[in-house]
Amino acid sequence: MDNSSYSNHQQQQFQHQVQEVSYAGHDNNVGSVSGSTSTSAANGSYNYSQVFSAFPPSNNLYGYGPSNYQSSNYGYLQQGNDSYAQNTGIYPGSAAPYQSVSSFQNRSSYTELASYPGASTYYNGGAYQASTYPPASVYSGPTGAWNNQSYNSYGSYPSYGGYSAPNSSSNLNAVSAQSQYQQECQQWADYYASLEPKVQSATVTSSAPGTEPDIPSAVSLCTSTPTYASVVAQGTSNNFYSAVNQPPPPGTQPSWQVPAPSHFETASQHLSSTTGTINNGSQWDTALMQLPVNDSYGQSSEHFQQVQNNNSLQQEQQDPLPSSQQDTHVTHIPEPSPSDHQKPLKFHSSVQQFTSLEASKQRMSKLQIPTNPRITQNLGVVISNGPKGALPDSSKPQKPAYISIRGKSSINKVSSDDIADATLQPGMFPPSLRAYVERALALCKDDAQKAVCQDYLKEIITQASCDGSLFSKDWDIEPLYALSSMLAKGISKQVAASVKLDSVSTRRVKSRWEPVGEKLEDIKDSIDADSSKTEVLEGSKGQEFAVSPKKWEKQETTWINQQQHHITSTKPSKRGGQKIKKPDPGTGGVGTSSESDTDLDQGGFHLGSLLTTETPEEKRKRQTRTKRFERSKEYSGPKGSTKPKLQGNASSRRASAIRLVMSVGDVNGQAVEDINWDSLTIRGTCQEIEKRYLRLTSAPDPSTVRPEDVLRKALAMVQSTPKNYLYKCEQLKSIRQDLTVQRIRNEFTVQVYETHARMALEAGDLAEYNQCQAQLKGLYSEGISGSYNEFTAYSLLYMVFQNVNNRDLLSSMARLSHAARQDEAVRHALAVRSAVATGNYTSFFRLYRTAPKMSSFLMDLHVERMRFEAVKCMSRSYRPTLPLSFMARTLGFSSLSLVNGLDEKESDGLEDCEEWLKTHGAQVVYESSTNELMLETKMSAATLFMPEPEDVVPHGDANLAVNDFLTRS
Amino acid sequence: MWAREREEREREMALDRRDSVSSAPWRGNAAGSLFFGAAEASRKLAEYVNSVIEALSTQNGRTLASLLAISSANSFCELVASALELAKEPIKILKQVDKHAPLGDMLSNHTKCMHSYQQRRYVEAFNALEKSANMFLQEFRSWESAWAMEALHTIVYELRTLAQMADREMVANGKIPDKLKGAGSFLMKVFGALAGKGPKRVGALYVTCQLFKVYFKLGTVHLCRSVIRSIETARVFDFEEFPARDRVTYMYYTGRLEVFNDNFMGAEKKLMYALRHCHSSKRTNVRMILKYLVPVKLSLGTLPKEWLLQKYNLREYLNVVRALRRGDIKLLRHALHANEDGFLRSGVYLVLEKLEQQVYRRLMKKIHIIQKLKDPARAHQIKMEVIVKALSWLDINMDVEEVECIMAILIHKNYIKGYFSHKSKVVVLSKQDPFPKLNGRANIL
Repeated sequence: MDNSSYSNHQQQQFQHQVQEVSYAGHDNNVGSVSGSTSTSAANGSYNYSQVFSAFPPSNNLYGYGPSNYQSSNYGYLQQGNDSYAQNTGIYPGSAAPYQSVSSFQNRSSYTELASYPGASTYYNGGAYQASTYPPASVYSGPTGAWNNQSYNSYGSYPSYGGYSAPNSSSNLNAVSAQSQYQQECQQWADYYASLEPKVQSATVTSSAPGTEPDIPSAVSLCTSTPTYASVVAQGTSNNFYSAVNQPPPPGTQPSWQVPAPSHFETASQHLSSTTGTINNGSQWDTALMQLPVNDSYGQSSEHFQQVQNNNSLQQEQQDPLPSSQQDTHVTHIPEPSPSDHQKPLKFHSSVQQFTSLEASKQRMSKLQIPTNPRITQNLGVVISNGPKGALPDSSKPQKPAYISIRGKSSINKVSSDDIADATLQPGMFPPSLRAYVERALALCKDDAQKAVCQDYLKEIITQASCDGSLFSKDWDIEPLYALSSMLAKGISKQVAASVKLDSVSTRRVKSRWEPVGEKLEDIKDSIDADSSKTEVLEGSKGQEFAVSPKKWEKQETTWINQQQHHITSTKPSKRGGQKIKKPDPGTGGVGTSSESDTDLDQGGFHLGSLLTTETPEEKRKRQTRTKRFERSKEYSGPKGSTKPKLQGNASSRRASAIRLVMSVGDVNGQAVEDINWDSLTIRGTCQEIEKRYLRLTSAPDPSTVRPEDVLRKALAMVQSTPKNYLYKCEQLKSIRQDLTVQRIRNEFTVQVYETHARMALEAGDLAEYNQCQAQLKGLYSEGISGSYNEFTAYSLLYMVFQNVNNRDLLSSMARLSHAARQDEAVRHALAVRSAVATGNYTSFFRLYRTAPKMSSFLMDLHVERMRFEAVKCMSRSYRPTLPLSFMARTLGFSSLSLVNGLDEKESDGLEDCEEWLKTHGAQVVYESSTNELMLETKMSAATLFMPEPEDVVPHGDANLAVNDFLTRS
Repeated sequence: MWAREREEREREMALDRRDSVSSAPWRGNAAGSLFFGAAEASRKLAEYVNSVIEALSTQNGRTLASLLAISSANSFCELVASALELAKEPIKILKQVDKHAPLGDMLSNHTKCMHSYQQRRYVEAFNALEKSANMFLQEFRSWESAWAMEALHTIVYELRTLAQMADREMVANGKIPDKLKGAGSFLMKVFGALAGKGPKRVGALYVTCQLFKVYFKLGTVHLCRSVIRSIETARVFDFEEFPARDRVTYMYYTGRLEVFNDNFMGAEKKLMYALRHCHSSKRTNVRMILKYLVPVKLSLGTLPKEWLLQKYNLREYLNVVRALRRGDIKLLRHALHANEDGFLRSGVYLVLEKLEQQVYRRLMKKIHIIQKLKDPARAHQIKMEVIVKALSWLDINMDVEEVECIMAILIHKNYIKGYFSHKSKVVVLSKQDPFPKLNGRANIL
């Protein structure tokens, strides 16, 4: 494969690797930790090992569902078995290492979720708390394998210490070039062991031809920590890449193999075609992009960073470290996803620990290196940090969070920064321009590139200053594309590739809000599906590995399988939510079903459309948004520069949704005071009286909104219509909606809500009633007149019957004015409240019979309970019997029959009463002397029970029969 | 609520201030002439700042607290406010604190608050104080020991009271008041800084009590739960180690919460604790405790002596207690009606309302005793008509069915032992202990 193309791949691979390797790394860590006591951070390692060991067999490898996982996760802290060979631990394992690494001091924080809210989230994502993240399960499969493998490898190469990363990477490689594997392993091992930068670079070269371009830089900068990290990452990624290639995802393969010239295409294609990859790639690009797989990656990224730190330590450039750490931290901050927010914290902790680790740095770094690859997204960031560390003064503040892509190129950063400093004296040019130049230079790989780039920049700047746009131009959004393409043409394709990635990342940025969530879900789903498929296979393998950790060679084949699984599983993750066909679990790897193919394609389309749907307006919006989140000014890329080859129509729907979300986001971005609501209020023009209710999902369209006079007609229509409540309810809801969007709040509004509330009461639709009541409360409090007392009474009754706590009841009672207390309905409501409070059933049912207005409908809610309490009371206090006629009268059955039987005016409700008593377990006997039915109280006292309501329906009222809904639709 | 205590503390602080800050001669003329020139103003401000610095460097929390106090009678508020107006470059002077602790910004905000407070612009004052408080808290967190606890408490107290004033101002200006809410969330932050292990925990209960006050005022008492949980579940710190002042306040508020929950046993326990530990000289505080303890005790069957109610000016309960003694339903209803608003506001209305059943019980007992005098053999059978007649003498007109229902409830809830015969309309009392004691048993089943 071509070098240039390689770079792209590399990165993407990297991501993949990140996922898997990291796990391995964790395991290795454990191993190394336990194996080598040399680690000064005894605490951390100790904890870790403990933690790790806890994940015992209990997690049937992949089988562990979310719940399992969690338990394992938590459990691991407590137990101390040497069961990590089993490696369900994979996940746990990963989490554990993380902890050990990051939290030598803080690990407790992890344990205490409460204290460390971030931790929980973090682990969820990172640790794959399967529940939230299906991806976790997906990974778990492969991961498990990885763990085992890495562990095995560790065993077999004890000399390497815990350095699993090399192993893992080599594992990946092995897929493509298995023969090389051992060699590489060895090399890596050597490399790490020796820690000589040169060796390392050499290793890299040998391991992956694609890396070669990087080599020079690596060599040149070998002394600097960052380089080291980057090299490692690259190396691993390379390996990984090859591995990935082997079992190519259906859509992916062609793109992967595209030769050098088509870097961009490859990148885009790759993105679009492989979901998993896409996610990875984008993530990797933008440190921000952690969304889909995010959380899981987040962890890894942190690992990676830590690793980096360690590395730097190793290289004994301890001075720059603090600064670099800070940088990393900064970069993290902008990360969009909520879960990510907590990372900075973590990172901090890790940093702190880091210092403590210094003594043990070598060990640790080795241990952690494996994790590095996982962090792909952050790779760039990390790398960039390195240079910063070297030049803390110049570039730190301006480092954008997203630049991660720079990763490779940033190796040169040191020099580029210098140049930037040289060419641009502060003050002469706007800082944004400076940042721009830095950005451009950051893309350069070597001196030649730099020279070209500089020339080019000079041109641009001169031109800008000539036409006066030097200061007016927004350099933050000035595309690097032209620049990069030039560089790519003239110098290095890698640069172009990186640019490409850059732009991709920017794109991602925009979509990070919404798509992220979707993707996560998608991944979840897909993972679920995948994991279930692969479980068995992988599980067995994992066990096998566990049993014989040393048989590393054997595992290679298995590894391939696993890899395939992994790939298949990863793919679906991109597309998320709706679909998820089953990925091909088989060993064929390539043989993904056509279904998943289309999915992939769609995913690709989706992404492509995402990328291309940008309008200038959107661009601007996005820009402002981006700025909000960035501390630094860099805005990395040209928006439209990279057009993915695969552009489809499939995703237009999604794209529009995203646009909507983005617009919402913009609105939110404004300070609320800045929004002129009056200017946004619409005036409806619709003249139709009848309108279906649809919940608004976008800004209302005036042509579908009715003005107030039409709404009045509509209300009158609803009040006079003979149709059923469902129809009325819908009409009233649409009226309410139109009122709301037009911000009409007056007597008419009150009237609408009152009408609806009454109808809802009549129909027993408490949910709707409650909404209206809440609205009415607000409307009345604004001084709009209406049937205040009536609805005060209703709300009092409602509170009584809903068992609202005493305090709320008291406060609403205290709020009653004296005038209100004189009102018949309110007085009635208060009397009912009192009757309920004292259990006085006699007065309750008398009040029930005399309830004004709609109060009796509300009281209906409580009748059943009141009757039951009453009968309970009677059966305890009356002896020996109680005539049913008395009970029917006292318990309101007679009035009930009045309602039911219009014909027989004076029904005494005896039958109803008897029926009711029997269904509640009361003992009714016939008293022959008085020719009456009697309640046998003593016996009933023991047998009374409250039967389960038979007619329970989800919407709370059997009257609203399902049939009504069906007939309507 | 503990205004008295508070005052005393402030008096102490003022005393202390005289000792430690007596070296500042400017203090004397501060009250008298506030119209000094710019130079003098600068000098006074510098002296004030120096006092702050000294308090910081000597870690004298009490002095610091008195220097930061705003609303108390002897605060430096007035002086600082006027000095701030006249002095040149006051910020520069205030920034000198930074040499000792990064509190320069905090102090400039704090003095700004004093200034606004002096001019009765409470919203502004609150905003400035909130900033100042945040900065102080940040610094406080970094101090290992709890020496500045008193200062922190002062700030917390000032913030809360100022928030109330600011809210009042906002309401007057037609705005929606949200400052007390803001103060609540800041107090929560303070609580977070104190609630952990360590020497600072002693101060946590004070903040908790201030939080209670905020939440009760806002009507968001449900928010108390999390704070209570963290106080009561912590094993690292014995409750008795908190200052008595805070313990009493805490028990008072949690007792009130139990009243809302109808948990009269728990409420009694907490309120009794508060009463026992409350200094008897703090009459207002005792009264506040009794205000809730009396209804709780009543519903548990314990009646207070009248002199107690008289002594603590709890006259609203006098008739309630009398009604309970006499079995006078009418009097109870009257007493409840007369004080309805007060009872509703304090939240004891629902408790008192349920006393009605006890009054019925007392009435039944009286009838029973009278019957026993006349005809001991049949005393345990009380005819319905007798009860109805007795009630009508009390101007309570109820028909037989209603009375029947009440009797049934009394028997059901075990106020009376016995049964009711519907056929013969007679309440048959148990011959053995027909009116069991209520002591220690909630009257609600």
